[in-house]
Amino acid sequence: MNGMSSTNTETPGTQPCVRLSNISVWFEDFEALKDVSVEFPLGKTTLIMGPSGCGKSTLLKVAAGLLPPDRGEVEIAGVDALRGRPRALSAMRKSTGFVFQDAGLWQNMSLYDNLALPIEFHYPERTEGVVRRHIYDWAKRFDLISVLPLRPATLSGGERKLISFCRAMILNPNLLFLDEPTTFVDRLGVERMLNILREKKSAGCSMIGVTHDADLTSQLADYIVVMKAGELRVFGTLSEVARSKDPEVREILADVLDEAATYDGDILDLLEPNGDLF
Amino acid sequence: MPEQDAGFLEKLGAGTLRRLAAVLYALGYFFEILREIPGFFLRRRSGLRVLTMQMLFTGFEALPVIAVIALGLGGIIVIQGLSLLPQFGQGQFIYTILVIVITRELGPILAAFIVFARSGTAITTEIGNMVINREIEAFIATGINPISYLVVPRFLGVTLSMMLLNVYFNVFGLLGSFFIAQLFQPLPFSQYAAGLFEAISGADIASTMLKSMMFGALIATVSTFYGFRVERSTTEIPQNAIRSISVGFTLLIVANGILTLVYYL
Repeated sequence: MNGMSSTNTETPGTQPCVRLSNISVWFEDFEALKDVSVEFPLGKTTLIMGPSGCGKSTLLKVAAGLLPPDRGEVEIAGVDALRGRPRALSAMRKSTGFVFQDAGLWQNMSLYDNLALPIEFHYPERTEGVVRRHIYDWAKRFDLISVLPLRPATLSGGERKLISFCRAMILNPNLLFLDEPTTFVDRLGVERMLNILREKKSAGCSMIGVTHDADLTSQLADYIVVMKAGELRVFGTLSEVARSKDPEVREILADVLDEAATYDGDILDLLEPNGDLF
Repeated sequence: MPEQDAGFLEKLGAGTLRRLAAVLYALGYFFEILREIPGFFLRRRSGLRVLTMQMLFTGFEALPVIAVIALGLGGIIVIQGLSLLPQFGQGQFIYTILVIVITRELGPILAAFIVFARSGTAITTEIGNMVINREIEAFIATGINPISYLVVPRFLGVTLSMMLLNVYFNVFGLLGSFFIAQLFQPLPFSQYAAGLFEAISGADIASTMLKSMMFGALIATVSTFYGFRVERSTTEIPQNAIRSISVGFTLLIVANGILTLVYYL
């Protein structure tokens, strides 16, 4: 485990799916990310944790190539996300999915079109029937078929999030970015989402996420990144980070996962609900 | 050199370089649109919907306002022409004036102003809102190039609509002038049409169509460009819509001047 620095150059010896080098992001006079370097392992799930406003979502967007940093290098699946050739970038994007914190659905399209557009754009040769079947298969998994003709504005936050999740999965990505995927989603929806994510994980899909959800963390995380004030404080396996003796890391995790967790055993309890994690 | 002058020159130089960089960036944006056009025909299904909606909004919905303005303009030219020209024994030049004013000059530029005021600002506002709602990020995240999906169909839709609206403006402008002419000097339609056909040349038709095509491309490029310039706040949307229309109108007048000069070369 690498602690108290903005780098994780000792990342567990697997090939990275995303490599960030010396990333700095400024929002006017505020430095949201401070010289962060991190390598997210291929085929593993890495969850980023930290208090609100510490730069988790910003780091995730930089890692997904959605936010060009003011300084630093971004490499996604071996492609330079800042200077890569358009064709290589397009091919890379086709195999990635992103679940937005606020769903990020296209407001002037029906939910059906929100799901159909990525397929129609990347696979124009697919017939309408094939596209429709694929969309209905995904909507069925969350009981969302009846809302498909509606626009996003008419849906609840949870339903929008589930459609955003379906859209991220619709092209069968092998690299997933999840920004608070379970927020606003009811228990059944979270359970279904977790089942799908577990399937993806066992199929070798790399995942990078931001979450405050202890269930999601305990069931999916291979690695944990702990951030504070735009800096990467710790990067390690779930077991290493959960057992960290560093009081600052413990305090951050306790705050993030459950405000009641104030003593040593709590965090392990939160991350090990069934006692079979480690 | 006095220190004050050096400071002024430094600021002037920096300002010039900044403007030059902005112009080059806008040119790069325009060429990026052109580069993405072939992709539209490969992915017709997804882009066709946007193109159809754009043509419906820019072209079809603008028909009534274009008709009223064209009829009014045609009428004014005939009233002025028929009351002034015969005094100098030049009544036959009414057809040439109609062709020069409606077909070659005012038809394309007035239609462009109307299209910019209606559709250009709407496009800037729509794209600006999409930036604020993170919808553009969603396009990038799903591998959909926003230029390819959002801009190219609008570029083609506005350009095609502009060309069709220009033809429509001409038809209504010249028809309007015929009906007004009846009040002053009743004449059969065949005679009026023959006079117009005699006055109009292939170069006039080419000039008006080229102008409307260029104006359409310009409107779409400027309005989408300013939509993407919105970054974080909703207050930037009206600001960029105003900038878009100011810059757009200026560029339309400059382009019109250049194309008119080219016609006479």
